[in-house]
Amino acid sequence: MTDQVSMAPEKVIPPAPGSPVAAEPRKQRTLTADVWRQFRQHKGGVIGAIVFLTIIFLVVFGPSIHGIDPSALNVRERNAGISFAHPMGTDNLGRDTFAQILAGGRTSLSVGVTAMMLSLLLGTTIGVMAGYFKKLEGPLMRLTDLFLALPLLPLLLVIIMLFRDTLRRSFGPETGIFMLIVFVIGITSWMQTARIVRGAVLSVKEQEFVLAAKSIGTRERRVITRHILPNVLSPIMVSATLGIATAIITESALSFLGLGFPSDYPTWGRLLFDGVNFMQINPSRVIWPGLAISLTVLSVNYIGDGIRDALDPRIRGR
Amino acid sequence: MVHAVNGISFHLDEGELLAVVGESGSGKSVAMMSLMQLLPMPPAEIASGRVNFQGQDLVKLKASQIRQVRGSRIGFVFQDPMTSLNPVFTVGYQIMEPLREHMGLSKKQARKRAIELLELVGIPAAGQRIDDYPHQFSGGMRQRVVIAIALACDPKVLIADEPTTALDVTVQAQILELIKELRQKLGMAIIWITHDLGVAAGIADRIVVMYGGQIVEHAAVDELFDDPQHPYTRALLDSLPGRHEAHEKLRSIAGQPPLLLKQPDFCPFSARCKHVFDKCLRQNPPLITVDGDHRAACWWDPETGGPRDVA
Repeated sequence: MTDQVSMAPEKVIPPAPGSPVAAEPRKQRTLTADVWRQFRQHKGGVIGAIVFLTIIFLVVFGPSIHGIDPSALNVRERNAGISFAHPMGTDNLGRDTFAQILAGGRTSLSVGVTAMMLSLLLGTTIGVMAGYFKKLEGPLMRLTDLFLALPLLPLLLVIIMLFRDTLRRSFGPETGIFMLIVFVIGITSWMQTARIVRGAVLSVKEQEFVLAAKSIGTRERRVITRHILPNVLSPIMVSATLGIATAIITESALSFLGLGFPSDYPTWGRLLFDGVNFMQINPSRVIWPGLAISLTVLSVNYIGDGIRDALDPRIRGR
Repeated sequence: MVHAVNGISFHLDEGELLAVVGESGSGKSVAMMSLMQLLPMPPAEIASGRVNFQGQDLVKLKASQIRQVRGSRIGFVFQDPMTSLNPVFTVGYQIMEPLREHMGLSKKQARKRAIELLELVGIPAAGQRIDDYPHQFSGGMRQRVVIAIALACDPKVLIADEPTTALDVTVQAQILELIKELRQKLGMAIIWITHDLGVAAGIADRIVVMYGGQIVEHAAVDELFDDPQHPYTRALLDSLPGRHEAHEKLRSIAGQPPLLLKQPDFCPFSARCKHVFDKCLRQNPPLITVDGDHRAACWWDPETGGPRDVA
């Protein structure tokens, strides 16, 4: 005993159990503080968070700092390179690329995040229901298969053709089309999440702690929200971060087909596809929006990774 | 469709410890889980029967009513402490769950009670360990936590489903000591499912031996070990190591337990029994009273070595 103490003098010896010091409960740790402490340990997550917050900051406040109207034409300065006035150059009509990226980011990010949340909500609900309730499994998973088997692009086209004008009339051209696109992306991208979540639920619900929870009289709803959901959180986190990426890219594809936002309304996807025709003359027109999409997707992925680790008590305890 | 448990009947007095022994697949766990409707239904189904508990028939209770009984009046301890705690919540949270659900305690009261419970089951520095996660506990400690959860609302009955099978022998001894001590302190009745006859001998008041979904023998603990009646019980006792010469091979019971695809009209043990005769194949023996509370389901009488004299 004395040896140990002399070998590690800086180590605090824990008080013996039952002694008055041990009996006094230490300050109760809160979950949020624990999670935050662990998240800070995750380098990728922290860098991702910084990058993502910077992107959001730029997109929200950028247009008021960089005061050029993204749709202002300036034919004399078309296809300009990087300069102080135009940090990312201009396009073939002399519009400022940086201003367009900032304006486009607002739409792309909000579409991405909202659509991801919608698809996550749908996918998780359906996945949990199908995994937990045996009776619902058949119908729900066949529904999922049905959606997976649908040819997505024609479906998107039909939905948009059918509802675009009604929504535009009732909510205005921008809000209307925003809701439509979020809805369309949401209901066509939940299937993967549903399948993954169902699989995870199937294995978690066979664990003894679920039976143990039932044996102490826990309500069904509480079993799902407290014992099943937290244990399938990591696949959900992963599909959430991937979901943002898919949503941004699907929105780009829709814009490319002329079914997304109106052509004078910049989004990252739209800028990218507009730029493709000029790739030979002015490659920066593809590079900048591409970079914006990739950075967002990458940073969100790392944030998701960090959050997942931080939420897992087994990793947090290390 | 497997008839996992058929026509069993037993009683449990207040403060008593009843051990249920039998090999794997003999229907011990299924019988006990069905008491509280904990089996997944479907596919499981309780075809008939009654469970009288404090004047209530538990089988007839609705889902919401049986929930009131689970945890508050009947506690359950499971076999594997490694998987019976939810890894994403602190043990304190999990002990507080039944307290808040059944006793309506506030968060603060529940926390205080949870610390008391952890101290009761012998976890040192309970005030600090309460905020730890299950993976920070060893197997024996976790089983103590599981027991604390089961005890949280002062249940009248504790059903322990092989609670020491997954633990090593020293920890098993500690848990057995703990259970003995808690039983004296709290005065609850315990049903202890095990396939370890040594454990059963050490703690039980009465023993029920199950085989093929039936109770084959029922006796007070000393009676069962002194004067086993059923050939299965005798074979089980005979297969214990240490009862024979050291160089001898371990004895086993040849054969497999039957697959009960329909209710048997013959003795389920007949295929493996040394004393089988024609009546065993024609009629499934009921529990026959041997001596007072000692009952065995067998046509063969070890006293005479011939058929039992049944009136």
